[in-house]
Amino acid sequence: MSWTKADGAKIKITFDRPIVSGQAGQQSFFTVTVPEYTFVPGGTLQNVTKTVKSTYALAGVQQTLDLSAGTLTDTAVSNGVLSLGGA
Amino acid sequence: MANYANLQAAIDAGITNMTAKRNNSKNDDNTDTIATGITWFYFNSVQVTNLYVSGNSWIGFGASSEHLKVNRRDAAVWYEYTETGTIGTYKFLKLRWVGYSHFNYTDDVHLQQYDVFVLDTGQIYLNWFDVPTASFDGVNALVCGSNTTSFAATAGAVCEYTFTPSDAATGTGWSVASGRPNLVVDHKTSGSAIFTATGITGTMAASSIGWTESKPDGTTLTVSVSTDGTNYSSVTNGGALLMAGTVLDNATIYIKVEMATTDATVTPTLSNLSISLQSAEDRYSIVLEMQPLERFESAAGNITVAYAGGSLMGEGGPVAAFTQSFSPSDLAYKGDQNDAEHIEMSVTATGTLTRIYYIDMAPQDMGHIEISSITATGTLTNVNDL
Repeated sequence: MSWTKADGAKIKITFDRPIVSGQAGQQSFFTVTVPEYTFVPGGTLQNVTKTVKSTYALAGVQQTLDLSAGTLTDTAVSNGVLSLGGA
Repeated sequence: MANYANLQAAIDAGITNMTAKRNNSKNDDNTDTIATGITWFYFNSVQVTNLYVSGNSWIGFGASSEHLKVNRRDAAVWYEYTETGTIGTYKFLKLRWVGYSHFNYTDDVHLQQYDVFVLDTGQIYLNWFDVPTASFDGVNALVCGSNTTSFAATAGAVCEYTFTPSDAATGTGWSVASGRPNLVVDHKTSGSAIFTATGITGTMAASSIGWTESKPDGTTLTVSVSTDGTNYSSVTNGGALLMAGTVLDNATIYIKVEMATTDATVTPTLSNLSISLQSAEDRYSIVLEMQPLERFESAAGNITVAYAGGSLMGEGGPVAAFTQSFSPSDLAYKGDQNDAEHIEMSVTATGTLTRIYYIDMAPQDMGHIEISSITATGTLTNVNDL
């Protein structure tokens, strides 16, 4: 397992075989328990059960390409639209 | 300076590529002088190096005179924008007038907006896309010297007019017709474009590509993909980008768009080109996202994740219930997860406090507080050291 360090908001679970379906909407089946000190002076250590907001599959890379950054041959880009260039 | 494939694209762009010459500032009766930056347009034998834009909804071309009147009355303009560019091979200057048909109102019924295109064909195109329904008793006309060319408009009804000179070189002899100018754009008959996505690593498990396209009659548009920049394979809109199992190591994906037309006045178009790639490793994983106020940055030991057995389905069948603990060893501890910043400090102080007393009880004086003879010693923790 791994986790996000910056804000402790996400946990990634990696299995030894592919997950083929059901990645989303499983939050009610997961319980995350964390030992934390109570927020009072001299607080005691206790296990706190955290609420999982959502579950989802890793999306991988999603990218919208910048058309103006392409190599254009007799085409033109204007306002994000590619078309044939002027003769 | 923007280049548009056709007039519609230039209209649809709105103020996207325009420069504000007046921005949310009311001009009732005065006239703004706006340098056009063009040399190719004449009106009434005058080179139009300036536009004169009146708050009373008239425009002067090269002179501060009431040439184009659009519901010309005691109105007020609040915004003015200009833009130059090309539509196909045609040059244009575009002016947008945004204001109200009555100088003293700023409500919807008085809202008045229009674009004026000056074209290197010598024509003027008026796109009156917001026509007021109140204070709609002004004059609508193009005045050139002693000749007045009027046009009709109906309250609340969008309208377009094209003014055409009999002598484009001097900008004289004007006539008007409802509708848009017939700008025959002469396109290349074929062309291509190549786009790249770089630094892609992984074994592709799933991928897709999609775009928005327009293919008028007589045009074609095809998209193909390559991982070496030489050998391309055709792809379909919404279909797979790469074959499953393709192994990429810091690779570049080349996407080629090819266009052609048999009618040079029309062109296919493509926009919103996007790709999605999911590696095999991604398919082995699931992400749990915590509620914002229930993050675990204050974990003082192992985190335990328990799965009660939902509908998570693995390649070999349903995922069985499990409980797994792991140590988030390098989390940045925060004393209070609800605080954006948590500051700890230790301080001790000793001193003699002198009583505080008011030396002036006048109501207008909230009191003078005098403190003296106070000393303090202690250890302060620098915030940067936390």
